[in-house]
Formats: sequence, C-alpha cells, structure tokens
Amino acid sequence: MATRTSRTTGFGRAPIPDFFGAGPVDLRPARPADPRPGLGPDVRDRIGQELRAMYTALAGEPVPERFAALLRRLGPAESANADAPKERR
Amino acid sequence: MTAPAHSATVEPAMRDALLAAVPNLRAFAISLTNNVDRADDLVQDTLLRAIAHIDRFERGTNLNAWLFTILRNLFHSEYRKRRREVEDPDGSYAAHLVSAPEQGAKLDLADLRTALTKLPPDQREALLLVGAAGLPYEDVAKIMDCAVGTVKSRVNRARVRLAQLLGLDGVEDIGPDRLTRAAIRSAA
Repeated sequence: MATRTSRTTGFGRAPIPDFFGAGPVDLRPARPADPRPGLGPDVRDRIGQELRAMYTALAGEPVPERFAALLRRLGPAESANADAPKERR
Repeated sequence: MTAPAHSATVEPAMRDALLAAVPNLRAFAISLTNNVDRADDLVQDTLLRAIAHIDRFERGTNLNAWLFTILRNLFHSEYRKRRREVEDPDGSYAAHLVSAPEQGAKLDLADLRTALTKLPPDQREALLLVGAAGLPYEDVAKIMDCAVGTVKSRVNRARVRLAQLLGLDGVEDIGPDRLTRAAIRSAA
C-alpha cells in the first residue's frame, strides 16, 4: 500500500495510507505567520508618556465628596485628620 | 447606582488608607470606562465591597493592589452584563479635567482615551496597570489572576494596537521588544 507524507506543512506527519490512489488532502489551515510584531523604543516611550500623563491628570483631580462621606458614615470614630480645622469657604 | 446597605465599620486608619487610595482607583476606573459617572460608581462599589470584606485583607500587603483587584472584578462583572462600552464620543469628559494638559498634548490625550476603549478589556487593564499606574508585572499578574508572561503579552499587544490606532510610526518594520523577547526565551 502506498503511503504519502503531508507536503503542506513539512512537519513530517505520520504517513497516511493512500487507499484510493489519490493523494491525501490536508484540510488543516496553513500555519499562520507569526511575526510577533513589536514596537521600537521611541514608540513605546511615547505611549508610556501619554499613558502616564493621562493617569497623572486623572489621579490629580479632587476626590468627590461622596467618597469621603461614605467612609465617614462607616467609621466609628473620627480619624486623626478630623482634628484638623475645617476648611473655611 | 444601587449601593447595598452596610453596617460594617472600619478603623480610622483603614478609612484614611481607603480614602487615600481613591484618586488612583478613580484614575484607573475612568481610564477603563472613559465615563466619569460610571467610574465613580465603580469606585464606590469597590469601597463598599472592600469594607464588607475587610477581614479578608491581609495587613501589611498592598492595599492598592487589593482594591484594584476588586475594582477590576466589578468592572468585568458589569462588562459581561452590558457587553457594550459607554464611551465619550463628544469628548465631554475632557471638560471635566481640572488639571488640563498642555495645549499640544491635549488632542493626544483625547485620542488616547478613545483609543483605549477600542482595546479588549484584558489588554486595556494590563496596559493601564503597568504603563499608566506603574505597577510591577508581578502585582498585575495577581490582580488579573494570570501568569506574568500573560500580562507581558497583553501589554505588548495593547501597545501595538494602540500605536496602530493612534497612527504612530514604526509599527510594521520592527521586531519584538525586550520584554517580549525575554518572555519568548523564558517560555522556550
């Protein structure tokens, strides 16, 4: 019985019996190219700077009162900061 | 938002620590959602959940990382329910920014916020935690409950995608970066 090895992948698959005289058809998709794209240091630095600038701006915003009020409600006693004089408006 | 009623109390020191963490939590949440109201709801839910389970927090460990983990889990739960991101198409959030960036960088930041919403959530989180919040890969791996190599891969893919979305040059003709090469070597 004739046997053939897959020619599509070149990975030495086990021989497949050729029962009907025609060559076996390998229906598996070809292995996709894996270029593993990366970025140059300039682009990475640029993205990093942009991200940090965005994050710093956001983290620098005043904290909405709702969070302080929420935590005050849940505390049994005033924190050390509570002894500080209240801000005058 | 529907905040559950809580009878839990927290010590003053923990309360101050939680309050001190809010700016970072908000920055992370706003970056994730690009919607300040939704982000504030996420932060509030995070604080409520943290207080409800405060006994699970190990003293001496990284409180911010623990809170990021809770926020991230809540974000994913909500994301699965919504299956649709609420963006900021008219740039209305930009008007909320108190500390406005320099004029030349303002457009870039607006573009960046929009581009971030185009990333898959896992990639967005990894990139924000590593690239914006500056957390170590090991901490991010714990927060995201995955391997360090997975975090590196997500960060790398997110960077590449962001560069494409932002039209930055030099994406096509360069090889893997140092971290990716290291991850490939360690995986081999």
